Amino acid sequence: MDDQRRSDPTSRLLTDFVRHVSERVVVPEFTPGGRGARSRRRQAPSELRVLAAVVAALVVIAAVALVVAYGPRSTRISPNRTPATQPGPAPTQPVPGSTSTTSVPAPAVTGTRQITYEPFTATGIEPSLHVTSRVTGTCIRYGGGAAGRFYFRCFGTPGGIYDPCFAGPTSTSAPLVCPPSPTSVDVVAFTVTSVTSDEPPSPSRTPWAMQLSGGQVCLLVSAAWGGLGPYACQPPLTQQSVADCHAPAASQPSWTAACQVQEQDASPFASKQVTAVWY
Amino acid sequence: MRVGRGSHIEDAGVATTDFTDLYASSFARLVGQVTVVTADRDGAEEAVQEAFGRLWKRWETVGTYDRPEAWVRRVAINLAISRWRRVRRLRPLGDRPGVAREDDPVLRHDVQRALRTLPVRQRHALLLHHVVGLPVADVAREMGAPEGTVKSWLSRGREALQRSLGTEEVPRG
Repeated sequence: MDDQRRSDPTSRLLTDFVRHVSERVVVPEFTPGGRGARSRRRQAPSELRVLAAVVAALVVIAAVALVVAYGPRSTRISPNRTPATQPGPAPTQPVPGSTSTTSVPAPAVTGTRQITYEPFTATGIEPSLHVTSRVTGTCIRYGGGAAGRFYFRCFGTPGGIYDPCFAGPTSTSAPLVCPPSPTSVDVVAFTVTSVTSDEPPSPSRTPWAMQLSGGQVCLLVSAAWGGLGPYACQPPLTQQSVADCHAPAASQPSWTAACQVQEQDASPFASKQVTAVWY
Repeated sequence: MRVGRGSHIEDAGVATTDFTDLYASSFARLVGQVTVVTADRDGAEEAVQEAFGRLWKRWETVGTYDRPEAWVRRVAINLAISRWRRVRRLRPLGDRPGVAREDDPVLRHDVQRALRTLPVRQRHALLLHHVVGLPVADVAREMGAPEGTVKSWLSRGREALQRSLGTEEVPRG
């Protein structure tokens, strides 16, 4: 096949083009500028596996202990189905920069908290947030947040993509705040040199993050990628964790999201309860 | 199917199991490949960089795949296309003002101009088939399209390249 491709004019043309481009690329030092990876140190895969196994074991032990101590004797817990009454972690408390939404009309559901992420005060960045780095670059503005506000997808100079970022009362004239997750107090302050989109706010509100009943937090990736996502879920990696989810649906008694264990087309989706969403 | 190794433009394959090694060995190659789809090197670099950011967070899982580089390429292309969809009302893909690199003759190359005349699906199919070396069936699976449609994209893409470049007949590969 390689010989055939090398003799094919189209293949030669395009591979030469790719080679020319590649040879002129200066590989930047990898700095995990993507959200989620910014605030944690890289661990060796084997360490992660051990950690995941320990966490999974502790969760199982705790669940068994709770069922034995308090659960009805007739309750059966299927490995593929989580009873609505099964004890689980409460939604993570919002960081000081977040407030539970009360003024925004919400679907009549219980068990799923809707939280508006508010990283600003009237005078600047919420003091309880810790700015770990300051970056400058361009941003794309897009809609979907609560109360018609925008999210920003920002591209740092010389590298790094930050999404979403939030503008304060003075819009983009002051640095945006880019959190790696809704529960992190570490944020990036992003100074905008230009905004390259003029999309109006989307009439449909789209959470930029959600927390599943198992405690996992999943972040919206503002990009389509096949049938996967668009919510990418963060560690901890346990036997119950998932890799990515579709958008949550406002159902009773709590919101749910279809999630898959692996980011592969063949990986089946399962419904997961959503305990909190952030706008 | 495993794509053959040893070529500059092909996947690094299972030999590259460490994230850092994969990043160092494939970043430039992937930028080159994604540029076929974006016809814009800066956009390709951004997409590949973000794709590696995602890989970083998922290395525990994706690192076990046979070809993690293929995963990065797929994500990068999807990210690039998605970004294009978002800003396409402002400009076509590969037509980003202010990003011309005068020190980079490739960006003035006829191939790049020719690629810009092709629909993005045709560029994507041409990349996967003629550069990455995937057979039509695999291209169809990766792009989520029927094989016949992919063959049509490839045929039209080749013809359009031929017309744009004014070269001799570009035979079916």
